[in-house]
Amino acid sequence: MKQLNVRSFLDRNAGLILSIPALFILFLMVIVPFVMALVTSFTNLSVKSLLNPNHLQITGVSNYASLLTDRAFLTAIQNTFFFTVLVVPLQTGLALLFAVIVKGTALWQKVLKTSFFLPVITSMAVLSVVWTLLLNPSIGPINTILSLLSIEPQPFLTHKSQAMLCIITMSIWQGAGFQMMVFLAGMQAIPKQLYEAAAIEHSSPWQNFRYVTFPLLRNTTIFVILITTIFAFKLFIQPHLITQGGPQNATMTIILQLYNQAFVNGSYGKASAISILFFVIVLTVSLVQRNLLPKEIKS
Amino acid sequence: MSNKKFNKVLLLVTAILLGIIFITPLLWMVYTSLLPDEEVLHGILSIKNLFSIKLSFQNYRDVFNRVPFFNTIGLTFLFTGTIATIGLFVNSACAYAFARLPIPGGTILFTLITALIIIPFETLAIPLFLMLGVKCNLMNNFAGLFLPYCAKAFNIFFLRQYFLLLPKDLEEAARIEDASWYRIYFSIALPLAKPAIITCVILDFITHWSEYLWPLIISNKSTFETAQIGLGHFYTLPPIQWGDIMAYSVMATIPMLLIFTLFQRHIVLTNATEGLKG
Amino acid sequence: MQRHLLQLFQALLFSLLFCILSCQKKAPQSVTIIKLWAHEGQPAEKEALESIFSAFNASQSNIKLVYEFKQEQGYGSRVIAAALAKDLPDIIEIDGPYTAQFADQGILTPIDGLITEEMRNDFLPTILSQGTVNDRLYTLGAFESTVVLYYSKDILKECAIPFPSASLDNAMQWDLFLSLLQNIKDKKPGITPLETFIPWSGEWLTYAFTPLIWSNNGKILDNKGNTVRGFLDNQQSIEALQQWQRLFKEKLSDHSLPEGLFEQKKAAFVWGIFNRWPLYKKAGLNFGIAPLPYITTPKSPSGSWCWGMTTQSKKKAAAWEVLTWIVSAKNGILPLCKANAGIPSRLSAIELYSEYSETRSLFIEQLKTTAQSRPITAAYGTLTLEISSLFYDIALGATVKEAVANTVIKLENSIKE
Repeated sequence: MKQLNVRSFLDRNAGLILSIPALFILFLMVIVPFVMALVTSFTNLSVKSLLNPNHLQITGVSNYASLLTDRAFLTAIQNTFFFTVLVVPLQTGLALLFAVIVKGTALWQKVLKTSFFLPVITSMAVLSVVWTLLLNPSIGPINTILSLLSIEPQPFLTHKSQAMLCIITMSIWQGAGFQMMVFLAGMQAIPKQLYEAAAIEHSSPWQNFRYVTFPLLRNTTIFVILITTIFAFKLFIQPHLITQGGPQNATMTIILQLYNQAFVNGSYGKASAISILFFVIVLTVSLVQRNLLPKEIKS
Repeated sequence: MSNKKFNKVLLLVTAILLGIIFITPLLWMVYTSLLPDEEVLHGILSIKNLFSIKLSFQNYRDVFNRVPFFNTIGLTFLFTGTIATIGLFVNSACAYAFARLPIPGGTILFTLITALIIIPFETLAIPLFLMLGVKCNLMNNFAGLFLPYCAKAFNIFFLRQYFLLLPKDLEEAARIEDASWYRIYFSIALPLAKPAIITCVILDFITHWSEYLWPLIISNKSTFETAQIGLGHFYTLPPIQWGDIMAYSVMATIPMLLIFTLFQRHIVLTNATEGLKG
Repeated sequence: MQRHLLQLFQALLFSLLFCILSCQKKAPQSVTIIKLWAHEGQPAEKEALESIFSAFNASQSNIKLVYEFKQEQGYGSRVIAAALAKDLPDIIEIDGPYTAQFADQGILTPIDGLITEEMRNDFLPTILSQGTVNDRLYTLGAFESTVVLYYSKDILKECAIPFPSASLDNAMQWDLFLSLLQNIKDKKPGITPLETFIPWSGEWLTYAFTPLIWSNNGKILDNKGNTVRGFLDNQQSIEALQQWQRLFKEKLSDHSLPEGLFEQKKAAFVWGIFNRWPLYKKAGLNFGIAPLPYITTPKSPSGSWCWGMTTQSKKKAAAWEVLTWIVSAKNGILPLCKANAGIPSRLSAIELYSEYSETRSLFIEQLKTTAQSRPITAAYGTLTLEISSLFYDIALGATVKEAVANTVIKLENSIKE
């Protein structure tokens, strides 16, 4: 009898019981830290005040105020936006092109698809290291090829105005395969009849793309752009590994600033302020995109 | 007509060229990892005497001699495996509950979960470090490494959508036969959702195998590093030997490649309707 | 494969052993354990340190020194993380200019109560000033560094330029130096008159070229380390930076060429760090050295990795004994300097190191008389980033006054905290 009671209790509350582990972890690992980040950002919490609590003070918005006038941080924001503005359209465009090329079952298309996708399943850290070798001014193959074409060797990552462009190129190369896959999945959902109808009207491949594929991929495109934008904003591994934000801050990004403030300088209050600002930026961008994109794509 | 043919050839040539450009860096990585140290310094010119160079696995042996690579790769497997396994059950159970079962305040709770997706991990990194690393003393500790990733709002959202699309027939039939919800979740819903779950597992695996920020933060010992962090350190560890570094890179990539190839086939073969056919 | 399995097995065995051993920790023992962290430099340097440490362990039986090498990349954040986890070793090695940061954060503890007057006087003054924050001594280094002018005897001969003197008394005045470079440029097209390693950027630029500002009686920072305004942007500093820009404007040096010009005999002079010496010797170059040129007063850089005691050390006396060993002339300084080509940090050690006092006495002379420590501030990381940016931008052709004004704005915020 008692056993039955327990059983029926368990069964009646199955929903809650099944969901509680995830809810609990999410609460502990997302909501609590988020609130903590918010609270910490209004204090001067640092290594100093953690080791000696007497130094801990509530400093109000001063972390935010000093960040927004801090040229180094503004440079980081600027670099991150520059990266995003170049990577998102180029990567999305390239991915769409790839998807159109490899859509099909011919062997060469399968091989190409794999080679486009390989960088995605090679981690960013590995690729950063590989590109550091490729772009090495003295022993890297790229400079050697350039010199064979009698072009001056380039400093690449060691030059202020080239470093970010190198990181952009390599990031586009790394991520395009992923978006290509998303586009391919989107293309599978396009009814075949539409292409058949187009074939009857003798439309060219370009017209096929322009009037059938692209319009029907609208939602996929929005999704891809959104995801890519957020990923682009998180730019960290490449500058952290390849350039440490240099030369002369040319590849300093928001997350690298966050990391340096927290784990190199030990200023957790200030770093938390950066993380909250970062959250606000990501939130704003995704809200804006969600509202703006459909119109732009229609026109 | 010939114009069309020309176009086709042009497309093919462009495509193949792009493919070559895309694959070259990775081939270069593998090539360099097999080169003797003195040839690495010749860069691309070493290709000229490709046939006289003895390619060898010496660099791979060097990696094992210079750093505890087995340790590193073992930790990485453990890390990704634990997250994928725990995540599989925790997330799918929650998703199933929200898809099928009554939960007090369910709609609000689910909206909240969806809202959590937008919070980037980077925003949580510092408090998590202070909480887990400093307060709970979990620096260089396995629990500290995987705990933040056990539940994932996005996976819950994604799996719930999938559960909602599944037909209810099987579950209703089981319900009539007096099976408990737990049984139904475990032996009916979970197998039915296999494609979605495998997708989650692969995505988790790829993301966490490549995970960088958190493993970097929560470790300050060279014996407690995932492959990514280990590589990051190895490549600045004097003496800088590019052959060794590339060997490390190749070895840090192979597991991900293998698992992806294995599981990818699975995705294609499984089908959402399989459960009903049987 | 089998060997690796064996290794794995061994590792398991060792960890088991370790567990057993650590359980037995409570057994009575009179040995004091001192933990130490060092940064992992070049293999030769690491080996030298290892043998210094094990020589210490062999020399007595009361203290057991347990050391760990930590990688240079991310070294600072490892120290911080360990401090928060209350897991700091007793002694840490740190990069000199960061002494102020770690002292301010409460990671380093002063050692001026432990050092004797006699010992203090034996150190080069730059070692002491690098280790002193708010009048308290925190760190001691075993070696020093400097920058001199290296010149190619062959190229100078071909240009009929007499070799510059290696004596500090005859250091070249800046205008004279530039006219020499101009002379070389006119006579030998294709030769870069001066190699400056600008692509190294980062710390190098701050370290190597701030002395030029000092040599015009300029400064980067006030003495308390609180402000750059009125120092970095005063007339002398700006003038010095303008002089520095001439190197690149007049094409006497190049900011983009990769390093190694001198080795390839494509550069006549090098603004070169001390440990280029063994490199150039090994390459069999025919070269000489001269003091750094100056604008109004000769100045030169200094600084190195150094050793300090942490606040979490409970065994100060024993830790001090270890530290004394590491910076002792015979047991610590000489073996290390022979491995990394460093300049001995103590007068008594310099005397013992005859090669140094003979062929490279200029290095020591500079350190004794013209050298200065890098600015002392808890925000050194930010400072050096901005200062090196400033040098770099100016090399690339930025307007000096504007660039300086920008840097001052950037730094005012972050340094005051």
